[in-house]
Amino acid sequence: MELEDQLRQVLLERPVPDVPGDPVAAVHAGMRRRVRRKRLQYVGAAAGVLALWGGALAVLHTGPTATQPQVPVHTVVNVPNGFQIRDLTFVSTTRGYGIGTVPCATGRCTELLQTDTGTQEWEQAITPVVPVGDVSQVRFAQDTGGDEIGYAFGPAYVVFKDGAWHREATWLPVEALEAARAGTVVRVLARPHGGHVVQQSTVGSSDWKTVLDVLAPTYHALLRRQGQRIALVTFDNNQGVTSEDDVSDVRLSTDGGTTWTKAAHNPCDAHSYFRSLSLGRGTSMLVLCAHRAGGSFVRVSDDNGATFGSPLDLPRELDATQVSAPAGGGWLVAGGRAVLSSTDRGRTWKRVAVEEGLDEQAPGFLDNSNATTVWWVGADPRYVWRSTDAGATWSVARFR
Amino acid sequence: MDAATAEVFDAFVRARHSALLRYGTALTGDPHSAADLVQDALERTGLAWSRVQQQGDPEGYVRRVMANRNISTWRKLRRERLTDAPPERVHEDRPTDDVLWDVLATLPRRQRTVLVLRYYEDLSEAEIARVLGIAPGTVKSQASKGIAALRAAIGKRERLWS
Repeated sequence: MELEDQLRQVLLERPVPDVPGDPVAAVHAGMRRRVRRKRLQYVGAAAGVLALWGGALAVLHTGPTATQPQVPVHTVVNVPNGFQIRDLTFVSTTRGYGIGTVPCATGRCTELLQTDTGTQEWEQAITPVVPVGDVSQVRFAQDTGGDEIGYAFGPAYVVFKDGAWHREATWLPVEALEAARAGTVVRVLARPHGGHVVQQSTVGSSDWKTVLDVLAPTYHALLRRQGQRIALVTFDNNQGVTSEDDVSDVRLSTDGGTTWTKAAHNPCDAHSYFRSLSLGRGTSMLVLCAHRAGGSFVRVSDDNGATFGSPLDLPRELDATQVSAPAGGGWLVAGGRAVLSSTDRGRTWKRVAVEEGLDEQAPGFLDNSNATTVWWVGADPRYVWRSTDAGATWSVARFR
Repeated sequence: MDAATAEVFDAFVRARHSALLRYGTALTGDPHSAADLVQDALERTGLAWSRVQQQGDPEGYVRRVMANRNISTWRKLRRERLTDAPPERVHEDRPTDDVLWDVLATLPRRQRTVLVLRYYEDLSEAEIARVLGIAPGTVKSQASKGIAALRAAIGKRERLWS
C-alpha cells in the first residue's frame, strides 16, 4: 500500500476520543465566559478613563444649545398587517423600498413595499404576495432605460423587474450587493471554504462577470458605495497565519466595480477591530474601529484608503457600531440608542437622534445612499430615522 | 442568542460534535488537544452564529477555524502531550498504523494540517490554500515535505528496530 493511501486510512479510521459531559452545555458555558471577559474589559477601561473625558462629556451633554437632540414623533406607517421589515433602501431623497415578510398561506411570504414620500406612506409594490424564498436585504438600481430593478438576497436570490419577482436562485451565497451610478451592479459571493468572489453586471442583466477573486480565508464581506466609488471590506480571522487576529482588508473601485485596487490592510490596528466604513465626499473614507480594551475611534483617509490619519477617539460611553459620512458633509456615528454628529472632523460630537425607549444594545444600522441617511434601530418595533440634510433634521417612522 | 437561534445551534453541535472530534484528533494527534480545539472553535462559532448561518456552511466554517487555530501561536503555547514510543515492534514490510500515527504527531503543525486537509478532508491544493490563506505552491511544498518527513522518520524507526 502506498504511504499516502495508508495515511488516508489511518486518519479516517482513528478512534474518536470519548469526551465526558454535555458538549452543548460546555460550549454555552465557554461562550458566556468569553462575553463576560469582554464586558469586564470594557467596564474596567471605562471606569479608568471616564474622568479623562469630562470635557468631551460636557460637549456631548451641554454643548452648543443651538441644536438639541430631536424628540422623536413616530408616524404610524401604513403597512399591511403583520409586516416585519428586514431591510430598507432609498433610490432618491423620497423614493424608497422596504422588504420584509407578511403572514401568508404558506407561513410567511416576502413583501416589498415602496414609498414616494420618504417613510410616511407606503404601498405594496407587488400584489398578490407570493412566496419567493427567504431574503433579508434589498437594493435597487436604474437600468439604461430608467427602469428600477430590485435585487433581493440572503440566502435566496430574486430580482424585481417589470413589476414582478424573477426567482434567480433558491440559495445563492450573496453577502453584499450595491448598484453603481454607471448602470452597473456589483455583488459579492462567499466561497464555501472561505474567500469571496466579486462579480459585476449591467443593471437588469443576468450575465455576471467575475472581476475580483479574494483567495484569503475571509469569512465575511461588505460593500459601501458613493457615486462611482465602491469599497469592499473583507474580514479574515486569520487564525495563526500571522500574528494578527480579526483583520480586515479594504479594496476600492473608482469605476463602478470594473477594476479594484488594494487600499489599506487592517485600517484599524492590532489592538482593535473593524466595525464600519463609509465613503465620504471626494476621495475621503471613514472607518470606525473598536478598541479591544473598550471604546471606539474613527480614522479618516483623504486618499481613497491608501493612508489613514491618527485615531480620533469617540466619547467612551458610546458603544459605536456604525459610521456614516453623508454627501452633505459631516460625520455621523450610531451606537445603542443614539446617533452623534461631528462637523469638525471628529474633534467634537453632539447627539442628534435618540430613541430613549430601547435597550442599550438595540441592533442598529446607519447608512447614507442617494443623499438620504437612514438610521434604524430596534427589532420589534423597528424605528427608522431618515435625514436628507446630513443628520441636522430627521423624520421618524415606527414599524410595528 | 435567542431561544430559536440557540436551538438551531445546539442541534448543530450535537449532530457534528463527534465528526469534529475525529477531525480534531487528526489535526492535533492527541485526543485531549482535539477536545480543546473543538470546544474553542465551537465557542467562536456560537458567538458569530447568525453570520455563520447566513453563509450557509457552518460545519465548513468550524473546520476552517479549527485548521487555522491548530497552527496559531496560541496552540503552540500549550504543552505537547508526547506518546511513548512502543518498547518493541515486530518488523513489517510497511509501518504499522500506530507508528504512522506517532510519526505524524511529530510533524510541524502546518505540515500536519496540510496533510490532514489533503488526506482526511480530501481537499484540493487550491482549496487548502484558501482555507489556510497561503499560496497553492506553499501547499504543494508543505505536503511534499510532510510526506518526505513521514518517510524519513518511518525509515529511521525501522532501522532502529531492525
